[in-house]
Amino acid sequence: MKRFRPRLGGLRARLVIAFVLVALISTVTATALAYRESRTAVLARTQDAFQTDVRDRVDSVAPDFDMPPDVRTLTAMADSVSSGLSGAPLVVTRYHDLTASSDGLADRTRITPELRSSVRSSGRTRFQRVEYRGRPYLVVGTPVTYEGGRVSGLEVFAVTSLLAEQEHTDALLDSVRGGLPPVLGLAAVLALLAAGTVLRPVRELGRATRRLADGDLDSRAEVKGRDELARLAADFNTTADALRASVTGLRDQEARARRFVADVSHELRTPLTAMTMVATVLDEDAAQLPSDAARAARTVSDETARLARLVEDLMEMSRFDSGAARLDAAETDLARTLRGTLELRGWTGQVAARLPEGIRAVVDRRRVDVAVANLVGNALRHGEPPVTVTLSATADGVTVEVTDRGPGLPPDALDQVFDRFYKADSARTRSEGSGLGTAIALENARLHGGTIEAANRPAEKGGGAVFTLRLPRHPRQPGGQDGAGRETAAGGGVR
Amino acid sequence: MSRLRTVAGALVLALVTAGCGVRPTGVVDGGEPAHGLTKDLRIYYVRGSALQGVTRPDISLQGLDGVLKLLSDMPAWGEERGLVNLVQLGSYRISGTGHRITLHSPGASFDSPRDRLPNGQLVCTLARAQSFLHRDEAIRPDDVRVSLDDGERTYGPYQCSQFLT
Repeated sequence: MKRFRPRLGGLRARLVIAFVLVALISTVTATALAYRESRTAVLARTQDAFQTDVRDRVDSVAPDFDMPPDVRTLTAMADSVSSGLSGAPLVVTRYHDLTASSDGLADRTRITPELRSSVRSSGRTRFQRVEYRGRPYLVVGTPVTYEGGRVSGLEVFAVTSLLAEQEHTDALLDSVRGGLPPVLGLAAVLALLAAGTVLRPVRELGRATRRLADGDLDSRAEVKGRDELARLAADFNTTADALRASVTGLRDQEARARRFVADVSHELRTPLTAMTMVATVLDEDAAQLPSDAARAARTVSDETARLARLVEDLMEMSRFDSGAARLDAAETDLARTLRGTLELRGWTGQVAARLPEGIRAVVDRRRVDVAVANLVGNALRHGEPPVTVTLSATADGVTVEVTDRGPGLPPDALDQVFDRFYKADSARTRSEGSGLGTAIALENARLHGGTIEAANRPAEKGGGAVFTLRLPRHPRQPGGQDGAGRETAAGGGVR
Repeated sequence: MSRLRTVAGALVLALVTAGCGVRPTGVVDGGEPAHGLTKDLRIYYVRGSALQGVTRPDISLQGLDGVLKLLSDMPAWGEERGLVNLVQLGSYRISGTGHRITLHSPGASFDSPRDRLPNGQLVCTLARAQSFLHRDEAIRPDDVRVSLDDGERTYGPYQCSQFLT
């Protein structure tokens, strides 16, 4: 099982936090309500009982109380009422300006002026909870009337402590505090279990998706149960099935298209060879032909040669596309190879070559020749002289830079210059090249594990296009160095 | 952050709703007032181990002798309320005026501990009756001192409050 990593943003952490919060809120809310109800009940019971006791006690004492009273009888009454109540609470009796107390030393400020005035003005029993020196007290005040309800002016106040009730409710809070951690712990454990059941299929689905993204079209998710996650896994499998069907169809189509191109190219070679021979004869005899016929003969010869090159290029691309192209790499003196490339095509006079001696690399000489010839041919055809070929080397690779002083490539052409049949000047659709030269050059570079980059030189440095071929000193192409599957196509030649 | 604030707010709200401890209140109504003050005649009997006064508002009293007759003549509802009369006097005579009166009852027993409750009945009933008879002079029952004379010795003077606690 994967180790738990406490990432706050993770689904597991969020589930645990949500569970714990829900448990916390539920517990606190339930406890708060229960606490409030319990406290209200406890206080109401105590308050009611104390009021009843005070009133009953005063009722029983009052008939023997002499009116109008003096301080002595007021004190006697306070003592009598106090002694008859459980806990002997403080009792204060008042009659107009006279006041007496069951405890002469007790502080009477617990009987608030509001309570006194309310008892006097209402003529009914009143009570109030007060806090005195941090402790809660209940104060009950009642006027004492004559039998028949006539007002006497006598008032009795009784003060009792509510400390026991406070401790009772505090104990409830303590028990809640003690019970909260286990509840939250249980919620966390349940959340982890729930997260496990949810996350396992999600992880499985994620793995299947990654395998699919890596190209494993047979990657499928396991469908367990009938819940939403199971339905998601089933949908994923359906999508993967559809994707595999589409990809298989596309691959079949592509393979057929490539095979068609290869077959067409191959089938064209034989008639083209015959045509080339005939065209060569016609071309050689053109001098003896009338001028119209001579022009026609030369045109046929040129176009036949062009067609032959196009077919060769198409066959070369087919080999790249089908994966049949292989490197025939060997230790090569690059300066000599590039000089050969220029000399073979008669470009020595048109191209300034900067080819330091002694730069060697393991490359397929024919493919380097084809790539560089394509780049130089393009520069001569589309750029402006002088065209320069510069060879340089680093510890890891070699670089061949082909530059010209022409207008450079349009900005939007930089990304497309290596596309097949791309022509920067759409008006020149009948140009000499097939439009496959740069694409073939790039494929050859890639076959070595290298690249070709196209760029424009800044105008202040003379302008012009710069094509840079970069090749590693030792290509890492499977089967490239052992020469397996080598093919013997003719050189691409100048386009 | 906002989620945390919401949770904290909910908790605070819950705590505020509940409140902690026993909170002070304003003045709250507690019902009917106490009552029972009376200026009427009261006759004292015994209930359990204490004196219990019974108000007799409809009685017209001429003298202190009459109140002892009323004492020995407890109404029927007295027994229903659990009242008992422990006073047993033969012949008797009451002397004295104002705040001091004496009950003469030759042969009566006023001395033993068992006599405390009947003595209290006599003292309180006579004191209350004296106050009732002289209510124009504002004689308070507790100011009346009652002596008990059994023919050989005089006990007291007593105050009613001595027997009420």
